Amino acid sequence: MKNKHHCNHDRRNFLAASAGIMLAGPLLGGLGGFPTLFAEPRAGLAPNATAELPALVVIYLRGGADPLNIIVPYSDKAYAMVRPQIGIQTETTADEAGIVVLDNKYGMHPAMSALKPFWDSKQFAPILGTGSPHPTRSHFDAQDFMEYAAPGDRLVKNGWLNRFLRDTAAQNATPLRALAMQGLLPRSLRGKQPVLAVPQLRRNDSEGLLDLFDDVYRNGGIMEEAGAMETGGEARGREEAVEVGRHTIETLRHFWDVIEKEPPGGQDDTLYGRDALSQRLRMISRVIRNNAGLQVAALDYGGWDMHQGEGSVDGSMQRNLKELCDAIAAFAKDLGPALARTQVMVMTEFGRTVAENGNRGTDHGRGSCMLLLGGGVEGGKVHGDYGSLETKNLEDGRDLRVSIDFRQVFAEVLKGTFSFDAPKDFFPLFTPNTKNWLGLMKSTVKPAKKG
Amino acid sequence: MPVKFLWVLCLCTCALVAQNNAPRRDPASPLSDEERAVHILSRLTWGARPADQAALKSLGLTAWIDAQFAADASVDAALAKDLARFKTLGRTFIEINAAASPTDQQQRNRLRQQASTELKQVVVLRALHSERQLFEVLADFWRNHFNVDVNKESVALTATHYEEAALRPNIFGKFADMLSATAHHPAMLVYLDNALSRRAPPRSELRMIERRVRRQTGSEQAAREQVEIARQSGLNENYARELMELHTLGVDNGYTQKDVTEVARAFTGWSVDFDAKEGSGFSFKQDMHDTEPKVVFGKGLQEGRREEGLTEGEAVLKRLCAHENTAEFIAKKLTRWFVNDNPPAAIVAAGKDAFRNTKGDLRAVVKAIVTHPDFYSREHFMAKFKTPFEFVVSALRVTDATVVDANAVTEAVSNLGLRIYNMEDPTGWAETAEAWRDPGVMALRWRFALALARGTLRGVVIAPAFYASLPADPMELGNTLAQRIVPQGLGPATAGVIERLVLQRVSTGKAADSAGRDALAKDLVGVLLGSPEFQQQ
Repeated sequence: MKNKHHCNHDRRNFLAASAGIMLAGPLLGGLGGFPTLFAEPRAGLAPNATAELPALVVIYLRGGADPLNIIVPYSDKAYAMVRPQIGIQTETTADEAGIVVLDNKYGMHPAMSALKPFWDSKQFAPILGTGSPHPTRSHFDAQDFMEYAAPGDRLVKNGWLNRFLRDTAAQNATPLRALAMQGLLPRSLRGKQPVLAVPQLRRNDSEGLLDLFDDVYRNGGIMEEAGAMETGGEARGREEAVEVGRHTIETLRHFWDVIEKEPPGGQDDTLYGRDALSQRLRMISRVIRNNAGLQVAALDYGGWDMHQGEGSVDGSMQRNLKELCDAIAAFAKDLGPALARTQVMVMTEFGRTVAENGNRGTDHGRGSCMLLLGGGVEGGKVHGDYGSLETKNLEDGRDLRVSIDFRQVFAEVLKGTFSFDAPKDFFPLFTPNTKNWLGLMKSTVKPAKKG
Repeated sequence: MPVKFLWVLCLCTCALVAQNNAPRRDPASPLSDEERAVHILSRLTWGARPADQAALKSLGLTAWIDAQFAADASVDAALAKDLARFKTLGRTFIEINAAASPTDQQQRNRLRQQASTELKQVVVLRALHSERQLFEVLADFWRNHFNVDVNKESVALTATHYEEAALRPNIFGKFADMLSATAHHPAMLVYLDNALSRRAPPRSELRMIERRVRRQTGSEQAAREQVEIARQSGLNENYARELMELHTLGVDNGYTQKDVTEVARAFTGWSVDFDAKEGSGFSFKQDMHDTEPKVVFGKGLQEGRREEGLTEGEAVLKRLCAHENTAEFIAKKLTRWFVNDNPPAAIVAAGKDAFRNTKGDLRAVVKAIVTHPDFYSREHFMAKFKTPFEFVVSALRVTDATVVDANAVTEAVSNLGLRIYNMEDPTGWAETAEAWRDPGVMALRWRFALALARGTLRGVVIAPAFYASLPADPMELGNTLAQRIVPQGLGPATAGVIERLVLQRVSTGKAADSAGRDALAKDLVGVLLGSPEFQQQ
């Protein structure tokens, strides 16, 4: 607050001038009749990052998405047996679309066809058999364990992405280094490092709102000038509320400035659908392409707990997957050259029962899959596998086994995106295997042995 | 512009500033009588309706407070009649589920949905309309203290009975009774996993797992992790830990990890059975119970006689209630809730003494805190930042708003980040400022304030009568609204915006007719509800 006196001075001059403005009686536009009162040149936050930083976008499918109808093991004879009603057929027929073939064992749900070009360009890869060593089938626990990256440990209360922000804080102090595109932070981003939770407000509808409260949320310099002594809970509480209000106005305006700026290169906003996920990814793309300092963004996408009505190509799986993959494909195209430094990781808390239930759905299971798309991904290949779907090979006779610890995936993605080496205890009770990476990222692939 | 008119405007400005600015007082000066009234209404109610201010004035401070402590459910007969439309209110799992066929999953899902939305509506309607405001403020304290989450498994179907049968009857009763009621309730047993907790596998089995994993993976770490997981697959310490950390003693305050494990073993078998024909769903399952001896706080649970099964858990609860740290922890938390985010030691001590002297009589504890002379220290006046729930409900109460659809209120609160009965962490929703003074969300508070004032919020309206009762003169209008919504007085920035808003409308002739005055009144209400002053209580 070194400049407080200076600010007060400006404020006084400004007040003196404002009477004239009022009496001249201009009807300034504003929020549906709210006058945009006395707009001052605003300080704003200087966008102090111009470097092309690598970025990670994490999409969390809430509810436990069904891996077997996302990446379909079409070569496994048991698949059609355990999924008589909701199985995806291999061939496309006149009545029904079939899988998009990836390799000689696996294919994608037809609703994912937008990702095929990125498979072909080796920028997209699924990882099969991912999951937690903890056998919980509770959403509550499994999401906690995954987002805190600490299975079974209920005392860890900072998210793995927030720990990453903590360990790299010295290199980046921009206000937009981490974004949650929703009102509440997902657990993966919770912790001491500041993250902007972008409220669902459009600038067009809300600029008047900020302008109006811009005048209300100014610190009470006038009082100090008058020589009045004022402390106590009331004034202090008010000043603290004012401070956060000011921060809100400045950060939001900065965010809007960034996403309104036409980025260099890039593609075009018309690539995106109108759904909320697409629109949130569109904004993230602009923050990335305008080099505003973004490192990590997280989005939740709910509605994957498909106990009934999951269907094959006619149910909620079809609807959700299409929206998800169309949005990701649009985002990747829109990024253009910036895709080279950006990865998208899609995850969910657990898999589902191998066999369908009686309601054209599936119940909570274990082993699952994750999806990776981006410039650093070792794409065009399926990492890991489900193993056989025969009952004797399943966990508890019903669920896919977990063969890849999700923390290994997190570690490799951080390594491959940011060249970040997780320090000891970054993952409590787990040390990523850095000698034998799974090779999910270009930089973690073992160099081929020389002949 | 005639000079005379300028002069008149200038006078008006001075009048507004003089009346609305917060009085500048020495921090040590005592609160005036008016300020005391404002303070007590801001802390013991969900926001002061015009009628509350009048009632307090006519009764006097002490009598008004006494009446709040003495009021019983009969004062809310009209409200209770209204709430009777919620068919699931207060029902048990078994009663609610009786309405669904066991095989119709969709119907069962609809019932879950109905039970949790009705509960949330009841919570907001009581906060809004109950005459027992202190009771309802406390109800919210306890529902966060003994938090359960309707999104977890069966809790959607048990939470409404939990609220009615475990929490509310004990709000002015004994702490021990409330603790025991929550410990026996299926909502808590499922939410904190005690329903699953059973005897741990014997040590020999754990050793086998350790050896096997070490052999398979060659990793000491993986072996330890798998042993930990196997141990948890039997014994579940979740409830035992939170019982001590959050419900009674306070974190790391007089118990060890060993105590957590021993308490968890004592509670094995405290479970649920929803296939029973009647009852809350609580069931003690002897076959899950660990019958080995246990030592809690260095003292055996059996104490020379053979206590087993249910009585062991009950003995633990008794010990916890009698523990000095529980008296202190509860007094401190209530003081934080009613007085200051940094609870002053003298008031905490008074609350703790009351707890110990009355064996945990919660009416006496709360009374000791809110009637403590330091309660009225200027340090605490308007020093607390409202939670989203407090912000929304107080906005509706100060404007005497009519709630057509209570879902609109729960949605408004949830848009600001607080989902009633839907906090996944057992800490419950935080009461302190740092949890809520988030950048980003402030803009949503402003949007709510303007939408409410303008009547564009679905399901909630400020009655035309509210605006009609206001003075016609624009200056007086500004003063009256400021005093009603921000009775502690405005800070200079807000006062400045209010007065400029009024002056601008006057000078442009926009406030001359009743439509113009109405528009001005709405704008003033919006600015005042969104002001930093209104975020405080």
